[in-house]
Amino acid sequence: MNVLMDENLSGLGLADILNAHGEQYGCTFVTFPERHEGADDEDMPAIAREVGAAALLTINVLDFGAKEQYFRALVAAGVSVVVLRIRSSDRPDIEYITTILTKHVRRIARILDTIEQSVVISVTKDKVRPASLQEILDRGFT
Amino acid sequence: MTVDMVKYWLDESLLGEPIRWGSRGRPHLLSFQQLLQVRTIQYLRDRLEFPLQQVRPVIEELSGVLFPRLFDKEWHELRFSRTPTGEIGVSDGATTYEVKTGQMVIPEAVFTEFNEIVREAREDWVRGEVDIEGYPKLVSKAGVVAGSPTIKGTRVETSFIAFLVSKLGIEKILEMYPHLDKEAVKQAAEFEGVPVAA
Repeated sequence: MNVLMDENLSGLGLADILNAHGEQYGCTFVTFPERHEGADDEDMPAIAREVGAAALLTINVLDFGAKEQYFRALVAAGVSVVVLRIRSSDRPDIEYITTILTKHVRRIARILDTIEQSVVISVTKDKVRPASLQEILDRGFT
Repeated sequence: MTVDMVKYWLDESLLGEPIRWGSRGRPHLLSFQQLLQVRTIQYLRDRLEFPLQQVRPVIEELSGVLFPRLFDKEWHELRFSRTPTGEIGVSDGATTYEVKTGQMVIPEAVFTEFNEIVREAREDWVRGEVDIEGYPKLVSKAGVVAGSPTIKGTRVETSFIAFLVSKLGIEKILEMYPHLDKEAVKQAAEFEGVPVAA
Protein backbone atom coordinates (compact mmCIF):
# COMPACT_ATOMS: atom_id res chain seq x y z
CA MET A 1 0.00 0.00 0.00
CA ASN A 2 1.05 3.60 -0.60
CA VAL A 3 1.42 6.31 2.01
CA LEU A 4 1.42 9.93 0.85
CA MET A 5 3.95 12.13 2.64
CA ASP A 6 2.73 15.65 3.28
CA GLU A 7 4.53 18.73 2.01
CA ASN A 8 6.41 19.23 5.27
CA LEU A 9 7.97 15.79 5.24
CA SER A 10 8.48 15.48 1.51
CA GLY A 11 11.45 17.85 1.58
CA LEU A 12 13.49 15.85 4.02
CA GLY A 13 14.68 13.13 1.68
CA LEU A 14 13.01 10.59 3.91
CA ALA A 15 11.16 8.67 1.24
CA ASP A 16 14.13 6.55 0.11
CA ILE A 17 15.06 5.63 3.66
CA LEU A 18 11.50 4.81 4.65
CA ASN A 19 10.95 2.81 1.49
CA ALA A 20 14.09 0.79 2.18
CA HIS A 21 12.50 -0.22 5.47
CA GLY A 22 8.87 -0.34 4.37
CA GLU A 23 9.32 -2.39 1.22
CA GLN A 24 9.48 -5.67 3.11
CA TYR A 25 6.11 -4.83 4.68
CA GLY A 26 4.50 -3.86 1.40
CA CYS A 27 4.50 -0.17 2.33
CA THR A 28 5.60 2.52 -0.13
CA PHE A 29 6.05 6.17 0.84
CA VAL A 30 5.24 8.68 -1.90
CA THR A 31 6.41 12.29 -1.77
CA PHE A 32 3.87 15.07 -2.16
CA PRO A 33 3.38 15.88 -5.87
CA GLU A 34 4.94 19.23 -6.78
CA ARG A 35 1.95 20.18 -8.89
CA HIS A 36 -0.20 20.11 -5.75
CA GLU A 37 2.01 22.28 -3.55
CA GLY A 38 -0.17 24.62 -1.49
CA ALA A 39 -3.30 22.54 -2.15
CA ASP A 40 -6.38 23.04 0.01
CA ASP A 41 -7.23 20.55 2.72
CA GLU A 42 -10.39 19.55 0.88
CA ASP A 43 -8.30 18.43 -2.10
CA MET A 44 -6.10 16.14 -0.02
CA PRO A 45 -8.29 13.01 -0.30
CA ALA A 46 -8.27 13.34 -4.10
CA ILE A 47 -4.51 13.81 -4.12
CA ALA A 48 -4.10 10.73 -1.95
CA ARG A 49 -6.28 8.74 -4.33
CA GLU A 50 -4.31 10.09 -7.29
CA VAL A 51 -1.12 8.50 -5.97
CA GLY A 52 -2.93 5.40 -4.77
CA ALA A 53 -2.36 6.21 -1.10
CA ALA A 54 -4.52 4.86 1.69
CA ALA A 55 -2.92 7.15 4.25
CA LEU A 56 -1.26 10.51 4.71
CA LEU A 57 1.98 10.74 6.69
CA THR A 58 2.27 14.04 8.48
CA ILE A 59 4.10 15.60 11.38
CA ASN A 60 2.87 17.76 14.18
CA VAL A 61 5.07 20.13 16.09
CA LEU A 62 2.46 22.47 17.56
CA ASP A 63 -1.30 22.85 17.94
CA PHE A 64 -2.40 19.31 17.34
CA GLY A 65 -5.88 20.17 18.55
CA ALA A 66 -6.26 22.82 15.85
CA LYS A 67 -5.83 20.14 13.18
CA GLU A 68 -8.36 17.75 14.62
CA GLN A 69 -11.09 18.79 12.19
CA TYR A 70 -8.71 18.45 9.27
CA PHE A 71 -7.73 14.95 10.36
CA ARG A 72 -11.35 14.03 10.95
CA ALA A 73 -12.24 15.17 7.46
CA LEU A 74 -9.47 13.05 5.94
CA VAL A 75 -10.55 9.98 7.89
CA ALA A 76 -14.18 10.57 6.95
CA ALA A 77 -13.06 10.74 3.31
CA GLY A 78 -11.41 7.34 3.63
CA VAL A 79 -7.81 8.47 4.12
CA SER A 80 -5.99 7.31 7.24
CA VAL A 81 -3.66 9.78 8.92
CA VAL A 82 -0.29 8.78 10.31
CA VAL A 83 0.83 11.66 12.47
CA LEU A 84 4.31 11.85 13.92
CA ARG A 85 4.02 13.89 17.07
CA ILE A 86 7.07 15.83 18.16
CA ARG A 87 7.18 16.84 21.77
CA SER A 88 8.98 19.91 23.04
CA SER A 89 11.43 17.68 24.87
CA ASP A 90 12.38 15.90 21.64
CA ARG A 91 15.58 16.86 19.90
CA PRO A 92 14.90 18.82 16.72
CA ASP A 93 16.80 16.59 14.36
CA ILE A 94 16.00 14.96 11.02
CA GLU A 95 17.94 11.90 12.09
CA TYR A 96 15.67 11.66 15.10
CA ILE A 97 12.55 11.86 12.90
CA THR A 98 13.99 9.24 10.58
CA THR A 99 14.84 6.96 13.47
CA ILE A 100 11.35 7.11 14.93
CA LEU A 101 9.65 6.46 11.61
CA THR A 102 11.94 3.62 10.57
CA LYS A 103 11.60 2.08 14.01
CA HIS A 104 7.81 2.06 13.73
CA VAL A 105 7.33 1.51 10.01
CA ARG A 106 6.56 -2.17 10.48
CA ARG A 107 3.85 -1.46 13.04
CA ILE A 108 2.41 1.35 10.91
CA ALA A 109 2.30 -0.93 7.87
CA ARG A 110 0.64 -3.67 9.87
CA ILE A 111 -2.07 -1.36 11.20
CA LEU A 112 -2.78 0.07 7.76
CA ASP A 113 -2.90 -3.43 6.35
CA THR A 114 -5.40 -4.76 8.85
CA ILE A 115 -7.80 -1.89 9.49
CA GLU A 116 -11.27 -2.08 8.02
CA GLN A 117 -11.93 1.61 8.14
CA SER A 118 -9.74 4.70 8.14
CA VAL A 119 -8.02 5.71 11.36
CA VAL A 120 -5.65 8.23 12.81
CA ILE A 121 -2.38 6.65 13.89
CA SER A 122 -0.43 8.59 16.46
CA VAL A 123 3.31 7.98 16.32
CA THR A 124 5.57 9.09 19.14
CA LYS A 125 9.07 8.09 20.14
CA ASP A 126 7.89 5.03 22.01
CA LYS A 127 4.42 4.27 20.79
CA VAL A 128 2.19 3.77 17.77
CA ARG A 129 -1.47 4.09 18.60
CA PRO A 130 -4.44 3.87 16.23
CA ALA A 131 -7.77 5.54 16.90
CA SER A 132 -11.00 5.16 14.98
CA LEU A 133 -12.95 8.14 13.76
CA GLN A 134 -15.67 7.26 16.25
CA GLU A 135 -13.10 7.26 19.04
CA ILE A 136 -11.97 10.71 17.97
CA LEU A 137 -15.56 11.92 17.85
CA ASP A 138 -16.34 10.46 21.25
CA ARG A 139 -13.26 11.42 23.19
CA GLY A 140 -11.30 13.85 21.12
CA PHE A 141 -7.73 13.08 20.20
CA THR A 142 -5.28 14.53 22.61
CA MET B 1 -29.08 85.13 28.17
CA THR B 2 -31.87 87.05 29.81
CA VAL B 3 -33.01 87.45 33.39
CA ASP B 4 -36.35 85.93 32.43
CA MET B 5 -34.63 82.80 31.13
CA VAL B 6 -32.66 82.39 34.37
CA LYS B 7 -35.88 82.95 36.32
CA TYR B 8 -37.58 80.28 34.17
CA TRP B 9 -34.78 77.79 34.85
CA LEU B 10 -35.00 78.59 38.57
CA ASP B 11 -38.76 78.11 38.48
CA GLU B 12 -38.24 74.82 36.68
CA SER B 13 -35.86 73.79 39.49
CA LEU B 14 -33.17 73.31 36.89
CA LEU B 15 -30.63 75.25 38.93
CA GLY B 16 -31.76 74.24 42.37
CA GLU B 17 -32.56 76.75 45.08
CA PRO B 18 -30.79 80.13 44.67
CA ILE B 19 -28.91 81.65 47.58
CA ARG B 20 -31.56 84.33 47.59
CA TRP B 21 -34.67 84.79 45.48
CA GLY B 22 -34.86 88.19 43.81
CA SER B 23 -37.75 90.59 43.66
CA ARG B 24 -38.56 93.76 41.83
CA GLY B 25 -35.31 95.74 41.55
CA ARG B 26 -33.44 93.08 43.40
CA PRO B 27 -31.68 90.34 41.37
CA HIS B 28 -31.59 86.64 42.21
CA LEU B 29 -28.42 85.72 44.03
CA LEU B 30 -26.80 82.59 42.59
CA SER B 31 -23.86 80.56 43.79
CA PHE B 32 -20.73 80.21 41.66
CA GLN B 33 -21.79 76.62 40.85
CA GLN B 34 -25.20 77.85 39.68
CA LEU B 35 -23.59 80.50 37.49
CA LEU B 36 -21.55 77.74 35.88
CA GLN B 37 -24.73 75.77 35.38
CA VAL B 38 -26.31 78.76 33.68
CA ARG B 39 -23.30 79.06 31.38
CA THR B 40 -23.46 75.36 30.67
CA ILE B 41 -27.17 75.41 29.84
CA GLN B 42 -26.64 78.38 27.60
CA TYR B 43 -23.76 76.69 25.80
CA LEU B 44 -25.66 73.43 25.36
CA ARG B 45 -28.71 75.23 24.01
CA ASP B 46 -27.18 77.99 21.90
CA ARG B 47 -23.93 76.51 20.65
CA LEU B 48 -24.65 72.79 20.58
CA GLU B 49 -28.35 73.29 19.87
CA PHE B 50 -29.71 70.74 22.32
CA PRO B 51 -33.36 71.19 23.35
CA LEU B 52 -34.03 72.02 26.98
CA GLN B 53 -35.64 68.64 27.58
CA GLN B 54 -32.30 67.02 26.72
CA VAL B 55 -30.33 69.56 28.73
CA ARG B 56 -32.36 69.17 31.90
CA PRO B 57 -31.34 65.61 32.82
CA VAL B 58 -27.73 66.44 32.05
CA ILE B 59 -27.67 69.32 34.50
CA GLU B 60 -29.48 67.20 37.05
CA GLU B 61 -27.07 64.32 36.58
CA LEU B 62 -24.01 66.54 36.78
CA SER B 63 -25.36 68.25 39.86
CA GLY B 64 -26.03 64.94 41.53
CA VAL B 65 -24.23 61.64 41.86
CA LEU B 66 -22.70 61.43 38.41
CA PHE B 67 -20.33 64.33 38.68
CA PRO B 68 -18.25 63.22 41.69
CA ARG B 69 -18.30 59.65 40.38
CA LEU B 70 -16.75 60.58 37.04
CA PHE B 71 -14.48 63.50 37.63
CA ASP B 72 -11.84 64.75 39.98
CA LYS B 73 -12.01 68.16 38.34
CA GLU B 74 -14.21 71.14 39.00
CA TRP B 75 -17.22 71.85 36.86
CA HIS B 76 -15.60 74.86 35.22
CA GLU B 77 -12.84 72.59 33.90
CA LEU B 78 -15.29 70.41 31.97
CA ARG B 79 -15.94 70.65 28.26
CA PHE B 80 -19.23 69.73 26.61
CA SER B 81 -19.78 68.30 23.18
CA ARG B 82 -22.19 66.38 20.98
CA THR B 83 -21.33 62.68 20.88
CA PRO B 84 -21.43 60.63 17.65
CA THR B 85 -24.81 59.27 18.80
CA GLY B 86 -26.24 62.78 19.22
CA GLU B 87 -26.14 62.83 23.00
CA ILE B 88 -24.49 65.34 25.31
CA GLY B 89 -20.93 64.44 26.09
CA VAL B 90 -18.77 65.86 28.84
CA SER B 91 -15.01 65.70 28.93
CA ASP B 92 -12.46 66.40 31.60
CA GLY B 93 -9.76 66.71 28.96
CA ALA B 94 -8.74 63.07 29.22
CA THR B 95 -11.96 61.12 28.86
CA THR B 96 -15.33 61.92 27.36
CA TYR B 97 -18.50 60.50 28.88
CA GLU B 98 -22.03 60.43 27.60
CA VAL B 99 -23.85 62.16 30.43
CA LYS B 100 -27.11 60.28 29.90
CA THR B 101 -25.55 56.84 30.42
CA GLY B 102 -22.26 57.65 32.11
CA GLN B 103 -20.53 55.53 29.46
CA MET B 104 -17.24 56.48 27.96
CA VAL B 105 -17.37 57.92 24.45
CA ILE B 106 -14.85 56.53 22.01
CA PRO B 107 -13.18 59.40 20.13
CA GLU B 108 -14.00 59.70 16.46
CA ALA B 109 -10.41 58.89 15.44
CA VAL B 110 -10.47 55.64 17.39
CA PHE B 111 -13.84 54.80 15.84
CA THR B 112 -12.35 55.17 12.38
CA GLU B 113 -9.40 52.97 13.25
CA PHE B 114 -11.66 50.41 14.90
CA ASN B 115 -13.97 50.31 11.89
CA GLU B 116 -10.96 49.74 9.65
CA ILE B 117 -9.83 46.80 11.79
CA VAL B 118 -13.32 45.32 11.73
CA ARG B 119 -13.54 45.76 7.96
CA GLU B 120 -10.20 44.00 7.44
CA ALA B 121 -11.22 41.18 9.78
CA ARG B 122 -14.48 40.75 7.88
CA GLU B 123 -12.65 40.60 4.55
CA ASP B 124 -10.16 38.08 5.98
CA TRP B 125 -13.07 35.99 7.18
CA VAL B 126 -14.74 36.03 3.77
CA ARG B 127 -11.47 35.12 2.05
CA GLY B 128 -10.72 32.48 4.67
CA GLU B 129 -7.21 33.87 4.67
CA VAL B 130 -5.35 36.01 7.19
CA ASP B 131 -2.17 37.82 6.28
CA ILE B 132 0.31 37.83 9.13
CA GLU B 133 1.38 41.38 9.88
CA GLY B 134 5.10 41.89 9.50
CA TYR B 135 5.52 38.56 7.72
CA PRO B 136 4.43 39.04 4.10
CA LYS B 137 5.66 35.58 3.05
CA LEU B 138 3.43 33.82 5.57
CA VAL B 139 -0.29 33.25 5.72
CA SER B 140 -2.96 31.49 7.72
CA LYS B 141 -5.59 30.04 5.39
CA ALA B 142 -8.60 28.36 6.90
CA GLY B 143 -8.54 25.70 4.18
CA VAL B 144 -4.82 24.87 4.31
CA VAL B 145 -3.56 22.66 7.14
CA ALA B 146 -6.58 23.77 9.15
CA GLY B 147 -5.40 27.37 9.29
CA SER B 148 -1.94 26.67 10.67
CA PRO B 149 0.50 29.42 9.68
CA THR B 150 2.21 28.32 6.47
CA ILE B 151 4.58 29.71 3.89
CA LYS B 152 2.46 31.31 1.18
CA GLY B 153 1.67 29.05 -1.77
CA THR B 154 2.65 25.91 0.11
CA ARG B 155 1.43 23.55 2.81
CA VAL B 156 4.74 23.90 4.64
CA GLU B 157 4.06 24.94 8.22
CA THR B 158 6.05 27.67 9.92
CA SER B 159 6.27 25.60 13.10
CA PHE B 160 7.97 22.75 11.25
CA ILE B 161 10.35 24.98 9.34
CA ALA B 162 11.32 26.74 12.57
CA PHE B 163 11.84 23.34 14.14
CA LEU B 164 14.30 22.48 11.35
CA VAL B 165 16.01 25.88 11.20
CA SER B 166 16.92 25.70 14.85
CA LYS B 167 19.02 22.63 14.11
CA LEU B 168 20.06 22.91 10.48
CA GLY B 169 20.18 26.59 9.60
CA ILE B 170 18.52 28.30 6.67
CA GLU B 171 20.89 27.24 3.88
CA LYS B 172 20.34 23.55 4.55
CA ILE B 173 16.57 24.06 4.57
CA LEU B 174 16.80 25.75 1.18
CA GLU B 175 18.68 22.72 -0.18
CA MET B 176 15.95 20.41 1.06
CA TYR B 177 13.05 22.63 0.00
CA PRO B 178 14.25 24.28 -3.22
CA HIS B 179 10.80 25.70 -3.92
CA LEU B 180 11.00 27.88 -0.79
CA ASP B 181 12.79 31.20 -0.88
CA LYS B 182 15.24 32.35 1.74
CA GLU B 183 13.14 35.23 3.01
CA ALA B 184 10.13 32.96 3.53
CA VAL B 185 12.18 30.50 5.57
CA LYS B 186 13.69 33.35 7.58
CA GLN B 187 10.24 34.79 8.30
CA ALA B 188 8.88 31.39 9.32
CA ALA B 189 11.67 30.97 11.85
CA GLU B 190 11.32 34.50 13.18
CA PHE B 191 7.56 34.19 13.43
CA GLU B 192 7.96 31.09 15.58
CA GLY B 193 10.52 32.83 17.75
CA VAL B 194 13.56 30.94 16.49
CA PRO B 195 16.55 33.28 16.21
CA VAL B 196 18.07 33.50 12.74
CA ALA B 197 21.72 34.40 12.18
CA ALA B 198 22.14 37.62 10.20
